[in-house]
Amino acid sequence: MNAIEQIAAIEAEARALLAAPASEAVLVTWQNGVFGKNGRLTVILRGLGTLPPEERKSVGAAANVLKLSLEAALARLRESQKAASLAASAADALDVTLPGRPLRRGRLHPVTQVRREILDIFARLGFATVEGPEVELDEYNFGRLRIPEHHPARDMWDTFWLDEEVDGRQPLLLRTHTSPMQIRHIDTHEPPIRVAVPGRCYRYEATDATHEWMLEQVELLAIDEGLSLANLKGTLQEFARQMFGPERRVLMRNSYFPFVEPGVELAVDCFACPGDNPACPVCRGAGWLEIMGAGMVHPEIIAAAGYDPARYTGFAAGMGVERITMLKFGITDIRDLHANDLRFLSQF
Amino acid sequence: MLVSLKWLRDYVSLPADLDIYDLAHRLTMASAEVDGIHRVGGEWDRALVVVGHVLDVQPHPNADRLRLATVDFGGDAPQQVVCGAPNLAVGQHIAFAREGAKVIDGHSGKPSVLKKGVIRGIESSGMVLSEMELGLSQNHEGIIVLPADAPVGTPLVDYLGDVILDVHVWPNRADMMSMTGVAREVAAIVGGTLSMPDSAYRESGGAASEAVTVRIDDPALCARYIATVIEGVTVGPSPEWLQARLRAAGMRPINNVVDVTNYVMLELGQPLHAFDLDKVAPSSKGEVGVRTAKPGETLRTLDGVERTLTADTLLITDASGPIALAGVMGGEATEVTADTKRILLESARFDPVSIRRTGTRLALRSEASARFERGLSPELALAASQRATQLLVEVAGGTARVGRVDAYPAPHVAPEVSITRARLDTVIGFHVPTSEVEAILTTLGFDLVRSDGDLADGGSAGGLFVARVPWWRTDISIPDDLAEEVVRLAGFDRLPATGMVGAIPAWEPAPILDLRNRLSDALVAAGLQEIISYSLTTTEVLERVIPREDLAVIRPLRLKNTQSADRELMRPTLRHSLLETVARNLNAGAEQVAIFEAARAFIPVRDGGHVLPEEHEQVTGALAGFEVDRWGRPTTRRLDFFDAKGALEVALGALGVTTAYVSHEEYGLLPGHVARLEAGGDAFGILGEVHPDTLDAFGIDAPVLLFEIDLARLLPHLPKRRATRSLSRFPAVTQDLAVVVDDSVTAGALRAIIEQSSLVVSASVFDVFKGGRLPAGKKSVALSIRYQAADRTLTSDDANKEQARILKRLEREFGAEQRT
Repeated sequence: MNAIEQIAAIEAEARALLAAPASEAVLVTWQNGVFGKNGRLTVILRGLGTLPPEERKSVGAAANVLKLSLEAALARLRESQKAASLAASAADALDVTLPGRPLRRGRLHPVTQVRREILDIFARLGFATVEGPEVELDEYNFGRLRIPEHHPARDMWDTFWLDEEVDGRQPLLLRTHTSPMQIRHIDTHEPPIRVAVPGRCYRYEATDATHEWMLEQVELLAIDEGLSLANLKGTLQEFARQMFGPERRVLMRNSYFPFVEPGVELAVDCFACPGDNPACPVCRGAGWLEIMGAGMVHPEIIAAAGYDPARYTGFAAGMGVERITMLKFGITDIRDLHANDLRFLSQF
Repeated sequence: MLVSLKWLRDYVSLPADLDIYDLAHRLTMASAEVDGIHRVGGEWDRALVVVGHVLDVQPHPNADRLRLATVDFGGDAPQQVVCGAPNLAVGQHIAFAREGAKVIDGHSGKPSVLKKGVIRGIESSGMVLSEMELGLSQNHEGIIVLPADAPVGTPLVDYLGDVILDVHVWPNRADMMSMTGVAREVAAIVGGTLSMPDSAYRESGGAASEAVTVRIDDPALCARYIATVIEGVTVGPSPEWLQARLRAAGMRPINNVVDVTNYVMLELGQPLHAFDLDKVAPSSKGEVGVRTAKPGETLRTLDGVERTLTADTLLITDASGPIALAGVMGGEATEVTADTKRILLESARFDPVSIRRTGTRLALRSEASARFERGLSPELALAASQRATQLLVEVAGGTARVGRVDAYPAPHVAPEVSITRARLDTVIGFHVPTSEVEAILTTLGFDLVRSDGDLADGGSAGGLFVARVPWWRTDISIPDDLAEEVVRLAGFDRLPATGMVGAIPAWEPAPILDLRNRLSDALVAAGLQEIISYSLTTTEVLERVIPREDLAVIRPLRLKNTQSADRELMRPTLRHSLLETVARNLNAGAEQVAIFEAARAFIPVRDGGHVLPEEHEQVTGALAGFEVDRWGRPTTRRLDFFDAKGALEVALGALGVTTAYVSHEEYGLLPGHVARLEAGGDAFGILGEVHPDTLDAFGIDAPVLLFEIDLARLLPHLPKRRATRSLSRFPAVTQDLAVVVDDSVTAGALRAIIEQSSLVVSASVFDVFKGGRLPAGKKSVALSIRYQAADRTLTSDDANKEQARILKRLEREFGAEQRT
């Protein structure tokens, strides 16, 4: 076969191929056989130089015409095949409402989520997190917090005592609050001090929907020159805004804890109602949610740690993590938090 | 403390249209929390429950115990009602309910509507009411008798109605445990004129000191003891006004003498005790002593209990011995009874610690001890003695002897407390003008000795407030106490919310906390749910997971006091908590349980030198149940060791910890199905399948995988910096290798040898096969080995050569044969 005949043969093959579209694999093989490095058309084009000049022109023209028209035809073919395939897969639509393949999902306990949120907020305000023992000495849980034995304020913290004594005299107890870490921290650190102390506490108390014998607290302690009650309010207002929303205001009122003076209770205005809805599930119409006890660190505590209370002042606060968790998530029974029912926990 | 608004008005002038909610709010803001507001008579119908007047009383013709009362209730005509109350009498002013009124049924205690009825043949359309029927108390013994000046026909709520505030007084405010104390606060907060009760009375006869003398052994335990003597009293019921007030405060009327002591305690805050002076041993010649108990002394208290006294018990004594536990409870022998004629009235200041210790030890804490424990002012004793003597004469008759016996070794000197302007401004963080500071302190009863607070405005020197503390404020002793007085009265709402400006302290690392958080996050990512379980448990539960003999060595921390049998020991492990949680959730129908807890295990350390027990930080988890299919439904495949291991690999891998899983045995876990977790040769945890016997003990009938990680042991093996290597630019060659080895040869050991080759990037097991044509005791392990060089393209020839070398080594080390 001479070159012209070969070109005609290729063209005939191509017509057949394009008329009854073959699979992509067949197309690619044929295409490589024609246009590839040693493809038939490539060889013809490469061999043009060896042809006599009169043939060279006509063969060259025919080969190039065929090449261009085939390339265009193949491109059109591919285009239409792609369109057909897309149309087919569009017709075979997924039911996108079917569930995804299941992955086991883990979650942090809601109390952990809220504890971390609290600590993160205070970390942004410069409070490092420190932790202390859950089994404590009377000295730290009470004595050095100015709650000596037989002080009437002991009634504020019903205590689990352990049947265990240190040196045969100091009874051990389960800490009733995180405040002992105020003493442990100030004993080992110099002002300026800014720490947050999370941890489990225990109260010898009957259990009901709002009281548990095991609870978590976060304690705050800041000691520096010139700290004031207004700084306490500012710090806790910033906390309340980050925790409950940028519009929140804090309410401070008188309270009493032997280790602070003045002592205050802090509340935040209700985030669920304007404060006038007696049916509000969050504040029950009070308009305010009490979230922590606080106050200015008693100067005797600063002095006992070896610092000049005339120079250094400080504030301390303690809040219940479960309480804030319940407020945030609308939980009405604190006991749900320790029942560890996965159906309950999977909501968070 | 229950505060009757009606009673409070005796001491402080308040507007008639006082907004009680506003008052409660302002009290809560500034001084003491108002826990509740109760309206007495709020449910009494104004038209149907009124003051009545008994015009006539006749016997009931058909019943001995019933009588017919004709009652004028201010209506057109008096009404005849049947009444069974024994104390009904002509001329009484009473509480009367007309037909249709809502009252409490005297028998069922439930609200009911009064209907016209026929009682033993006589029509009755109304009722003379008891306290119970009005909802005032549980007393249904007889009817309420109102004072004779009660205006007939007046709605009863106008006459007897009240508002009761439940005020929670802080432990430092002894003064507020009284109506007058609350009145002082109310006057300071909302304004109003104070008027303290008049306590003048007429004295006659001999001097009190001729009848009584007092000896105080230890003035530290009894700073003051005042005795007055009232003779010729008649013990009997108190007048209605007195009873009503006690009831309003939540106390039960007893007799006029006891009621007066209680009344004055409520009014002024001073607990009092009345002795029958004729029963004080005659040989005492009227001398009473205040001293601590001697060894072996006993006292029969007025509750009839014979009490053996310990040496630190403070007593009131006569010549015969103890006659009262000071401030806690009187003795039976000198108790005031119906026959009592002469009274020794005690008003004293006892040491709060002593009172609390005795009250706690004998479980006799009371309204009185709650006041003594807060530390009363000795000045209060005199005011209370005068007031109670006056009232005793008024309600029990008799005469008061002249004067009083007042043992007061070291009379109170009002302390002066000062605060500088600079300190005041620093502590509060807000400038309260000097004139306002002065006004606040003055209205609270302080005497300003010096006030030049304004001097500070110009500089740091000068500017001082010096205030003499009113005697009733036993809680004020340091400068900051004055700051609190100023800020609480000025109003906390005026404080600005000021950010802190000082330097932020150097950050301290908290490695255990960080590790706990990171490991928890990683376990969550691996699909585990965090739980929080109780730290306390019981011996019975612990014995399921710790052998009894080990438990005897550990001796977990035991509670001395508990209110529940399931709280006995501080847990030395978390394993039982996980298994209890698994059991509970499987029983509740969970198909799959995958949980963990991050908490502490408590191990007592009893050798000397250790002060506190060890608190081991642990992260412990459990998996149980079935794998789920593409639709999330449980398949038949139960979660096994390798599901749990997979979760741990994800979690520990996320921390960058290279963990070795070493075959291990441990109590409570199934032998052959347990791995010890090691890093750098140190064990830091375990992973294993729980022993079926242990599962039985928790009522679980499905396999459970348990893991436990000790954070302190893991911490040193956390990589400080991740080791990274750059990726080779040259292509890798992957070849498979299957070897037959003894069953005892672990896949880990094979991999370890293979990965020692410098050309091997990784070797991963993809099949383990036993049985078939393999001899017993042998297994086939198939590995996919990836070869790659850092500096050239490996040919398959290179890989073949290396693989042949590796195979030789495996033959040498393990007797491995290539499986063909």
